[in-house]
Amino acid sequence: MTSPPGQLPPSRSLRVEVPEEEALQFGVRQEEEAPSAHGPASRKYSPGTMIRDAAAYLGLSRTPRAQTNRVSVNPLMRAAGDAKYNTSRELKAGEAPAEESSGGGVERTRVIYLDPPVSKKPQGSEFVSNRVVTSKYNFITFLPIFLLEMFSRVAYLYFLLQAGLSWWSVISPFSGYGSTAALVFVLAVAGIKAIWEDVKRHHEDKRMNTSATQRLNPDGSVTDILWTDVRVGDVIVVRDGELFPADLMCLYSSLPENVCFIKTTNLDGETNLKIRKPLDLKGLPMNDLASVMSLKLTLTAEDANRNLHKFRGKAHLVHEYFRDMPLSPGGAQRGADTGATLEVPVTMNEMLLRGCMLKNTERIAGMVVYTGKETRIQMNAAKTPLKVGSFDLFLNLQIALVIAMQLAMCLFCAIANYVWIQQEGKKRYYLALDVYVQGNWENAGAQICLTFLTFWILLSYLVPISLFVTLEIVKFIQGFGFVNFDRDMRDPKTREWARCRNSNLNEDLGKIEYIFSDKTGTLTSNEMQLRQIAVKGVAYGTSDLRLEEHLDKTGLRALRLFDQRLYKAAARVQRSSSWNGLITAGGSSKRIMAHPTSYPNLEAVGSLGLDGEAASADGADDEVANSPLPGQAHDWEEGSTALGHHLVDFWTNICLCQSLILEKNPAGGANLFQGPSPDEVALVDGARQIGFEFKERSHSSVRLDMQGEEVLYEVLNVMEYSSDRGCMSVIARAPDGTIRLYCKGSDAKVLQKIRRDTPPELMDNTNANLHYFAKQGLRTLVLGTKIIAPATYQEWDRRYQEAAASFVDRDERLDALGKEIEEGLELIGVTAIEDKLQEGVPAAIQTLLDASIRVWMITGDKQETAVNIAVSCRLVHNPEDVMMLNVDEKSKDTAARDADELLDKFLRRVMQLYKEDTGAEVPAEGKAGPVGSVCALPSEWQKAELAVDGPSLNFILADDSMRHKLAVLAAHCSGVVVSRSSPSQKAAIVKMMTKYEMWKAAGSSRGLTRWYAMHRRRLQGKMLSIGDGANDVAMLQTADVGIGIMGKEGRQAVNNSDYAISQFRFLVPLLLVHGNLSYYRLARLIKYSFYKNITFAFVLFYYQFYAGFSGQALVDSITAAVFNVVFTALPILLFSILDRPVKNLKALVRYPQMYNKRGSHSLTTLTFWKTGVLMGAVHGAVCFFIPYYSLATSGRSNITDVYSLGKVAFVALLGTVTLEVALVARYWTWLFGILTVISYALVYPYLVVFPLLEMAFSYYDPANIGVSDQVLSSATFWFVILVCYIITFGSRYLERTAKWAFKPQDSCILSEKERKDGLMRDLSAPTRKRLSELGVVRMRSKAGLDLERGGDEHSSGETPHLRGQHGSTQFSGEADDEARDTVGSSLDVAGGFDPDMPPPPGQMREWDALSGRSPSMVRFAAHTRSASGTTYPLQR
Amino acid sequence: MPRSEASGDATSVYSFTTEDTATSEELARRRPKKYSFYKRFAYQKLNGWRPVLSPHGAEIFFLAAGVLLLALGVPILIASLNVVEYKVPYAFKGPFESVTDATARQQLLWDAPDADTGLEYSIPVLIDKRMEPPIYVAFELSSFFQNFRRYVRSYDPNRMHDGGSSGSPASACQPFSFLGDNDSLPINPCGQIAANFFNDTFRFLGPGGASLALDDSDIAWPSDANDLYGAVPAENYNPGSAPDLRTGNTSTLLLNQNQHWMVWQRPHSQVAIQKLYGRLDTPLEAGTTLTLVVNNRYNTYGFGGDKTVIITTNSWVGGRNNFLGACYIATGGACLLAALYFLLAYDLGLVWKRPVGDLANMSWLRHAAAESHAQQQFAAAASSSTGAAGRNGTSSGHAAAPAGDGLATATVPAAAAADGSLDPLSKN
Repeated sequence: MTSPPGQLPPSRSLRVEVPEEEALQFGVRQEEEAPSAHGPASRKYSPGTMIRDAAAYLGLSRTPRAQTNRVSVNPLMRAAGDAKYNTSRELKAGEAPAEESSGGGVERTRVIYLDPPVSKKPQGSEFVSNRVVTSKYNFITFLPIFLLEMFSRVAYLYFLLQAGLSWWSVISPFSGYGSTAALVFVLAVAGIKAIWEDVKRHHEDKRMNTSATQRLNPDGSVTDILWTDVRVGDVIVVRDGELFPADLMCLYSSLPENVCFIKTTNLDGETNLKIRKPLDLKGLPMNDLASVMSLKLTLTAEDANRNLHKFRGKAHLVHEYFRDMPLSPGGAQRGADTGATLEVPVTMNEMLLRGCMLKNTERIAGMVVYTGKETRIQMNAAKTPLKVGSFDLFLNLQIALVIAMQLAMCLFCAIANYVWIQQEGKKRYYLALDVYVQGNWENAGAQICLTFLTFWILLSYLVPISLFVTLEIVKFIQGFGFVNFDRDMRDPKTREWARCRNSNLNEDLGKIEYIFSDKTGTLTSNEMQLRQIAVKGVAYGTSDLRLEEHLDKTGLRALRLFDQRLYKAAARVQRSSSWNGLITAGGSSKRIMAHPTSYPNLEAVGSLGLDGEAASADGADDEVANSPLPGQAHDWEEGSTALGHHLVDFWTNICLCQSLILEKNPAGGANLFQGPSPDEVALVDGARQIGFEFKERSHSSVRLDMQGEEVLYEVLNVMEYSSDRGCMSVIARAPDGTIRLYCKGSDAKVLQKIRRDTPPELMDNTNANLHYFAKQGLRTLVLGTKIIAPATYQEWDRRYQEAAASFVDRDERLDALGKEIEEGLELIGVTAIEDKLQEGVPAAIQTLLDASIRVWMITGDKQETAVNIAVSCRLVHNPEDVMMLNVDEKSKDTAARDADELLDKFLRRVMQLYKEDTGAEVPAEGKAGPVGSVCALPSEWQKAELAVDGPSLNFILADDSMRHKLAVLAAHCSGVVVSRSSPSQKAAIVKMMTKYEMWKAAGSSRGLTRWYAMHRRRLQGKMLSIGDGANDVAMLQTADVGIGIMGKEGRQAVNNSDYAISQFRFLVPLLLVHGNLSYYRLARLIKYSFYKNITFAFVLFYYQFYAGFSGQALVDSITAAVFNVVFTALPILLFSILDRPVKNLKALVRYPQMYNKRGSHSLTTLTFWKTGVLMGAVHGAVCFFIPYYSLATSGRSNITDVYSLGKVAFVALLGTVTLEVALVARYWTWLFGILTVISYALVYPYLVVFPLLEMAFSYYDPANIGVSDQVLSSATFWFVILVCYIITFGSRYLERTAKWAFKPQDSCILSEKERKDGLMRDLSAPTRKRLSELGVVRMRSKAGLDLERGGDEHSSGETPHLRGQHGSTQFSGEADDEARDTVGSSLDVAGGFDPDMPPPPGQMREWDALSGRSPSMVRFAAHTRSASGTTYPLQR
Repeated sequence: MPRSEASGDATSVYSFTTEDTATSEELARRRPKKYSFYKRFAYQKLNGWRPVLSPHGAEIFFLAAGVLLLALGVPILIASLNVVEYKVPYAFKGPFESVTDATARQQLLWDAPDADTGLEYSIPVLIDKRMEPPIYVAFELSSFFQNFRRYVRSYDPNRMHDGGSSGSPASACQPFSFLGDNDSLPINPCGQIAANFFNDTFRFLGPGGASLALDDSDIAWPSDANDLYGAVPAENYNPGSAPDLRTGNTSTLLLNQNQHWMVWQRPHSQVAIQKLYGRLDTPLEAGTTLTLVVNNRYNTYGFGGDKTVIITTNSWVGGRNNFLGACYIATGGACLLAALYFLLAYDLGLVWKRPVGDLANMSWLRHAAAESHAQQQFAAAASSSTGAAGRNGTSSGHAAAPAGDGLATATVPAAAAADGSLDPLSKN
């Protein structure tokens, strides 16, 4: 029955990063990475829980209780005990799952038979087919569905109405062709896009549905079938590497251990393997596939739903085998009627979901439970709520306003028409206005209404129909072209491009005000590395050294690299005879261990016995004995034997107090450490490199290799990490019988357990170390060790085992016992681990802050870590001054009040800070009390730093006034860190700030102004969330823009994001380059599209004053239609695709301040009406009145008829709007230039050719035939258009140049500078560093070539300062960017970056200025300065 | 100078990105290379020209534009002024002179003894400037809305081109589509414009009473005669179809031969319509007195419109119209003023002679300068700079604007910021 733990087949390298397993089992997704001090890992799963399932399937759940006593060493085994405990606990909570809800009678279930009763029809038919259709149209349905879709949008419906009306020739000033052609064109473009997208889906569907799989027949044979034909109740055989065609319940696995492995990448993106097990048959042997069919099984399953982590069902098994089955607490229930029936709960552990892939398992058989649309993956495929960009919002309002204007104009004209007819028209007999035919109605109301319609059609050009299709095209290209193909956003390692998923939001990327960032996996890379240690209050190592970059150095050589002092001490002790004693005792003697310092003074050496007595305690210590007495030694430090001893304590602790599992490295070489806590992995990995290697974990022992000497420690007890305990302890017996307790955990928890009489100076030093490390953003753990007397241990262990075996209050009792034994630890040291920030994160954050974007960190990690990371990525600059807003969650009754008091206190402090900072009194407006006056602070003023934790948020978010106070407080903080927050809290914070900003914008206004203020606010300053895990999904969806990181945590975030990038730093180009440009381009596209149409419409409008308000169109309908679609469409389209304020887009990253989220060149209602509408009206006036009055001349060559005037005005108009786009264009690519010129010039051939075409079609149109000949041959025409162009263009040119010269926008100055001497030259050292970290500039290096070739996989951005020491490093813009820039920077290197030269005074100042805030910057500067002296170890 | 260095570098220095496993092939690919158009497009690497709007450019432009406009405008204006034009209003002359009431005038017209010939009277015209042929004779109807939509739209192109054989419904011509609304009697030319064909006639008598030849051939657009209208006889067009109020006959010519009709048929764009009537091919000496003989039939009295005969020469830009010339001269003047403005405002520094491309003028640096100026003042005022000064240096990543770029320290020296001379805001 029992499988002894030792027999675990080593090949079964259990990848235990299966954290989801537990969540799956309990149906509750553990949403947050959570504190874990052994460590502060990204996840909450303790190793025990993680492997629980693995152990459970191994049959360990029936491990006799006695055995758990001593097998707790191996995490796998330990898990077994937990599993049993947890299973029973779970069952207590809710018995057989499917019945749980049957009481309510609400939940629907489905019953699936493996051997359907004969009476039943084929059961698959009652469920949906397995065919999955994601495509929207087919050949027949395309047109109706597509048209329905299009015309369900108000704009298109409006245009349809307009086009329809224009066919009513009596009222329409235009023929129906023009507007219909325009509508058809727009629809055609949208239709082509829709077809293109749908064809892709069709292909995908077809590929899916026609994949083959195998069905197991009742006789045990298999038949190949298509996925489409899979039916519920079928038994499907899936082989290694195949995808599951439907949701299956696993019945059989070919692996001997009766498990199978699946990869759920398609489902949730997680790349690690997960374990599934076949239905628990309680030992019923399943020898081969065919035997599956002999089962009599009925599955009652819950109805299809979208929960990926929970499945509830029960299997009803009938078999003789069960008759004599003993009942175990493990969950099975005997059927009521017969002993041969067994009911087994079915959970997600038995389910194989469609979309997952079978891995490392030869084959499995599973019964189909859900098919097609009802599979979990399809149920989850529901579209994420579609976000619309702010320009959509903006356009809605502006179109409404323009339409209101159109309404007013039409109404005016209609009434004027009626009045004119009554006053003037009726007198003019030749107009025959007394004959009521042909658009002349006797009834005044009818007359006004119908002329209103006439004008409505005439002025319909006010709203540009082409804008909608142009916007779609441009956004598509911006998103799926430029964002997706930006080489600066391509992950250098995974070669993954950025991905735009919702191009609607392109413009919002240019207006981000808040960034809410996840931490783990988003800011950090989730890769921990040991950086520094402190032993007895003295710090060793430097945080700059990366041991992992020196893998060739191991053992003492690595230690020497790490720190010379440690090396000397360790080498000395190792050479001495005390070494052996030290390691067989598991550490130094009690006295040495207790000594507060590693550098004992003379007397202390004697008393510690390091010189003589040590020999007896720890073995002969020749070296120390024979060495000159410390007092005589010229360098006691060098011989600090105590340090060596403490060092052994330190590393032994690290190697023993962990819960890692060894996994064979598939690539050969050293074993890999697998564990839930990356900190632990980092520590043990670091220890291995330094020569203290964790070699093997067996049943109840751990084998270590201590600098070449192998020792076996017997592990007696393991006290798991839990967030409450905040530490982990291991009790081990050393070979010589000493029993020690090794404890490792967070400073807060472990320091409490330290021996009370520890000398205060040691505690002070340790605290200083902790502070020092934390300030560098390192994650710290404190180590403590204690020697336990055997008798004490025996007594304690007895109680401990008792507690472990109990089912009542087990956790509490174990905790209490743990606390008891952990008392009185000896402080050993502190470890400092770097949770390696992702490449370029500090630079990215600095850049974003410079762009005056507020960056908040919202994480589930614990507060200290979060603040530390915030410090290291330069979000928080004064960790000691951070306002820590956390209340004791335990005291629930007072917690809310505490939180409120804290908030008030901090608000007062913020005001105090403001007073100190600016010297100004806090503006006294607003309500009394802190909130009112804080609200009155200028919103740009943000100085304080705030850290909030999740439990406090619980209380704060629940209360309106506290929530408001928090928002006010946070709004004036430059750095905000939210820790231990749940996913819903993450979203709630985003919502809170949105609400706050709205409230702030609305101020005290009311009614319409309030609405408008909020509307305007909604167009500015957007919220952006960025995250990588499923826990960030809520946040991503709540924010205006959600960015998913394509990281290690799967695709959940990406699938719910609007844009996906692979590294945090790519956010910088995404916002600063793409956001900026998209906004710039789209804003101008919108303004210009309206401008040109409004100009056109106003020309038509002005003429009404001279045509009796009759609705006579100056331009014929075809010309009017082609104006929009042909003559003016291309320049602005190309403009909005290609234009840019500066040529070198990297400059937008170099000068992040250019990111102007509320800047002057925002598109606002005011600017829209000024430069879109008003300018259109003015230009329209010029283009109408000048021709109108200039052409009035008698004589032979007159072109005074309506049609000629129309042509002249049209050409004037066309040139005017083309010149406008040409003037606004800041970047003339040949494409834009040529097409702009062509678009305009095309009007002349058009004028000539179009009448010929009309004649060819026997349409004798007085409006065209002969008109252009007359017009073009008239000198007046050419003079008129020339003066029109000079007036419109000249006035705009004057205005723009004056603005450019005297009120320059930043981009204007930049482009001047760019023309003058390039933008990427003269990079100051910090800028250069920042840009290269962001990957925006790349480095060129002569000397670096061999290094790079040598297989260094770390990118240049990571170690710029190292390269800098070669003195030949050159930074440059990209090669093809600008030759001048390149040269500039190389010159600059000679001038500014050469370490031999003192930096120019300006840069000096800059360094000095910076030095106060960013330690790494100072370090950087220091390196560059010291490089000439080569004191810095240059390892290459 | 730097370019040569760059090319020298390019041969000796490898440019690479370390992050990828660079094969030699890729290294080669990465060296200065030419992407395909599509790639350059997708990578946003299309080369382009960056116009910079400089005051000097504007000076040149406005100077050139001003000169050009004046150079064109002055001759245009002179040509227009040199046009000899005589306007002879005749609607209220002759027998109408004594009648003051509009209705009575109308009645007088209708009461004419012969509706077809109307009332003929003559008006002397003194030519006080020599007129060179061709001398154009046109008529003008004031306040005549020929561009009323319903009026313009009342037209059937096919019927006028090929007699309506293509069978178009011609409903647009209503109420002048069918004679007496009888479908079998289509009117051709139909529609309101044709129905109201102007039917006054003019003759000129020279000083001796000899008739001057008024050439009315070739006054319509050639395209109208050749393309627009066919050799279609007028049908049901004569009296009966025309509104009674107008009086007088219409035309019996083929449509494309009736020049006056074709001129009339082209709807004039303005309120006062001018239509060419004929041409005098003999020069008129100064001091000649012409006699204009008008046969007044066309009723404009109902709406008080005047009728004028215009005798004019044409310059190279057409008839008399000073608007265009004036417009040119005014615009040209404005352009010169604009050039002057930049000269004063920029070159002489009256507004701000901003150094080109000086990043110190970037908005955030200006703000920072202003801020630091204010803070310095504050620091000076508050002698105890205990908490504030320290905090300034250490906190807030972006309050200190120069962060991260060398330009800041180089270009906003504290002194400049302090005296505010660099701050353009103070001047604008």
